[in-house]
Amino acid sequence: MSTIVDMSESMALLQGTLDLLILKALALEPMHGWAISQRLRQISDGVLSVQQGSLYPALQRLELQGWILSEWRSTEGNRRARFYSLSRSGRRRLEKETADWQRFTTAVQRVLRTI
Amino acid sequence: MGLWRTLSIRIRAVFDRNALNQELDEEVRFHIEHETRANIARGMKSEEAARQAHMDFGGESVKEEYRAVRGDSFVESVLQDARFGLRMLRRSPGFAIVATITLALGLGANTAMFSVIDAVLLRPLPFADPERLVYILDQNPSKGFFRFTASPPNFIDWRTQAQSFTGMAATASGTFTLSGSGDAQRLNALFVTPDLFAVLGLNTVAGRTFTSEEGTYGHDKVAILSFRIWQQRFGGDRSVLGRTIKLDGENYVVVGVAPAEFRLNNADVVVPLAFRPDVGTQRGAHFLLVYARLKPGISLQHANDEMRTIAARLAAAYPDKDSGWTAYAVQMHELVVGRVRPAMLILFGAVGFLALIACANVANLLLSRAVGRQREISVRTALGATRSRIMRQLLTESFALCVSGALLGMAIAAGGIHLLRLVGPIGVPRLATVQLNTAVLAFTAGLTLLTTMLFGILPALHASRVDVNAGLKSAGRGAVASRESARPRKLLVLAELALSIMLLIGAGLLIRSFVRLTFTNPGVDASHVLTFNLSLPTKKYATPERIRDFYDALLTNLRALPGVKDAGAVSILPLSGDQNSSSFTIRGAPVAPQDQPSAELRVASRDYFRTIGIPLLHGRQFGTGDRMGSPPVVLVSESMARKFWPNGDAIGHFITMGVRPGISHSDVGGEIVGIVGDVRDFGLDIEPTPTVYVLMDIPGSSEMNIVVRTAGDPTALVRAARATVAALDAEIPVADPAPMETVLATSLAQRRFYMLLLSIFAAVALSLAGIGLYGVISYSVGQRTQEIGVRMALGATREQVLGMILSESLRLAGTGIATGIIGALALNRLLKGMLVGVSTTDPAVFAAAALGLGVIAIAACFVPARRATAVDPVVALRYE
Repeated sequence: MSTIVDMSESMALLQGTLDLLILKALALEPMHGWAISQRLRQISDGVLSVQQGSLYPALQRLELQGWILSEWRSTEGNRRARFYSLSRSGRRRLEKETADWQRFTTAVQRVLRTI
Repeated sequence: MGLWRTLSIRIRAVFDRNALNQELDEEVRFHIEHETRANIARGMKSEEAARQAHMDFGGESVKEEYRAVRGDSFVESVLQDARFGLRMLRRSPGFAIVATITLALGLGANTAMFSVIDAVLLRPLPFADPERLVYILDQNPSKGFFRFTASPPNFIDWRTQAQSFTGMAATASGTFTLSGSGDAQRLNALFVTPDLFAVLGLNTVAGRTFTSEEGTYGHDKVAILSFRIWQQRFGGDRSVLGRTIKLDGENYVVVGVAPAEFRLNNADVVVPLAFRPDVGTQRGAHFLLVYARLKPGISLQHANDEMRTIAARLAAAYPDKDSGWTAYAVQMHELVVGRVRPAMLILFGAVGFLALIACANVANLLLSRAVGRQREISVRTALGATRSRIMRQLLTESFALCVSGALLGMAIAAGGIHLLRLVGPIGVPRLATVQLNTAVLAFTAGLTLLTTMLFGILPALHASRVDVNAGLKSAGRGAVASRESARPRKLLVLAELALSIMLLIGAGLLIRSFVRLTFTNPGVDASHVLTFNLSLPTKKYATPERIRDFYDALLTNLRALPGVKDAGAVSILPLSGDQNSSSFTIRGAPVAPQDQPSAELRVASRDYFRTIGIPLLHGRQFGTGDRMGSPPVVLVSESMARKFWPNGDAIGHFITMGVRPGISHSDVGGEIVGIVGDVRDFGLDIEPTPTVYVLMDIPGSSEMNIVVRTAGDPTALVRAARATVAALDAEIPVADPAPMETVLATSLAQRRFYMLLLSIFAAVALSLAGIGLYGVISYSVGQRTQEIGVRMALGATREQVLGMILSESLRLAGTGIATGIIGALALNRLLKGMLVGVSTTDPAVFAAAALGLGVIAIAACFVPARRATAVDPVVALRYE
């Protein structure tokens, strides 16, 4: 259940960070797994690159926790794909995690500035 | 809502696994297709794009991880492991069969032995609240009596004075002849004070127990039937209640039926123990077994203190009968099983060794197999199987092996238990109740798990720590792990050998002790002697004369039978376990009553000594001139003469015995006219007891054992003997007809039983150790084929190769044997109580055991060593 990262070209993801990023990505609109991976890569400018395989266990975990929902739908190309969307409790979770994260980074930055 | 979702996903994970897997596959396919397309858009060639997409996605491990999240992995993988394990076992049936049989032997022997322990030691007595039940025993250390029965007046005083008990009851045993309907039958009788049932917490299954009025003299002609007799003789008919039955010619009214678990004294019938009005005079007559129930909150220690105080008070009040005597309480369970516990625990320990040996053997087999499977395991690891997953798979295989071993073991145990019940000696309490029950099954299940752990963990650890690269490169055999894996395998064999020789030495000591005993002269010539027991009803045979006439006529008629050489009678048969100790006085050597010496008393016919082969050493035998009215004479045994007349002048002295045997209630004793040979009456392992013989005519003993010396097989005469008795009096049942040799053998039965069990364990251990050694050496030879080939190519002779392998094997065996001998020296002290005339460090036994195991070891190594010499250097060098 670790988040695996290719160390050569990107930063390691902190434990649990992948969950937050997925929730954030899904906050905009429902999307399928590949789209999520693309979105993460684009948004972070390739800095945060998730090894794509580890995305699916994470999605599974989030769904089990009830933060995201999934359903099979047709894509534009008329292919069947599993689309994930944020649930109401997922949205609350995202807000809380975002707040936590900001508190954390603020604290770290404050430390870095003062030393 | 969330909970429901989680639950539904988990449930789907178990029951709808295929659909979920398909969905996952589809999702992954979708992802990779999109990624491939994206890669092409970034300018890659289509092949390159697909490859890159796959690489970015990651390997098979993702799916494993995904499943792990989903939660189906456990159930699924266990089933998978089990299926795979069974397939692997089917593929190597030789291995599976050897391992299963080994485990079955280990588990089966343990299950059988545990069921004995369970029945004999662990199961509570079949009474209410059994841990509060105690016996109250008399003891007189100065006379050497440590577990003695109580006298009626003492019992009555105890019962009135003791405060530690909710109740106290007494029993005495005897026999009755049941007559009336059908054949006359000898019954074991138990005389009980009416409150016995309340003390034990037992009720009748039909009818009622005794009232306290029925415990008074003159109102006591009522009976409770044992369950067995009720079924056998009365067909389980409830209408027997209220009916009258004839016991020794007297009428008794049946008032109840005891439950099946009521087995005290193996009683067939229970009647009230009603003390005669003159009971107060019997303070010296110790024949009551006293039961009591501790009050709640009263400790055994407290009860003991109180009983000692009471006994001291009685000793002060009745110094002539009670001084030197004291009383104590002992837990009923302790007295019943305490005697056999050490032997049972030793056997249990021994069978535990056997289980360990079996484990070591199977672990060894698994280790060799694991090395052979290194490539398979490397491949699985390379494909993403985790170490714990591989360990789990190997353990599942071990467990599958162990379960099949356990199932086969149960069959072995069931057969073993059947055999135990057949050959088991009477001396071991409750052996007849041994069975496979839930406790035993639980034990076996636990043992199976433990065994799996024991023999499975090491090989699994070993195999799962595989170097993937090396494992894949080597062609699945060979040098990779041979050196490294040889060590644990050798240690296992070493342990096996050490444990086996310990068992072997233990068994050897018991065998030697037993052989010594069987060669001990019992003092009688037991071959070609038939014995049986008669008890004359006292109503009909009320005078010593009538009894004498009956036995005279019987012995004369028996002697007239074809095939009969001689016939005699004695009150207590040698080695039967019965005893009749009596104090005596020597005329002219007065002592205080409490200091009177005691001896065993036997009532015998004139021809008894000649018939059973007890030699006359000095003086004369009973003659026809000795009879009622003539000056009374006695014979004494050699040890008696030596103990009390060390100067050899026993003959001519007069002695009077303290007890009055028979129905005349007159004193017995007289002038010592002869000294006869000693008889080991209480066991071949016990020194002969001083014994006094009186002529049976005088006291008129109604219960006698008849001994008949025959020309041929004594059992062939049973029918004729029965007819002879019936011709004199059809109402007298012939009880316990048996050859004297059987009586002798029965006295050794318990020892034989222990010896037999330990020998079986040792034999199984020995063969398992042999197989183990064979496995290790032949594996080692297989591993070293190349090395041997090189040696031979460089000029080593076959003899040198043979010597090399043999010396390596024998070093291993020698170390094992030496370790085992040290262990045996440390542990054999436990056997001390079971040995007679053999020291626990008997060098002959140690040497024989070492030699025996050495021979087995050489035999086990020789075959693979020979195979090593047959290695063709050319083939061996091309091997890799």
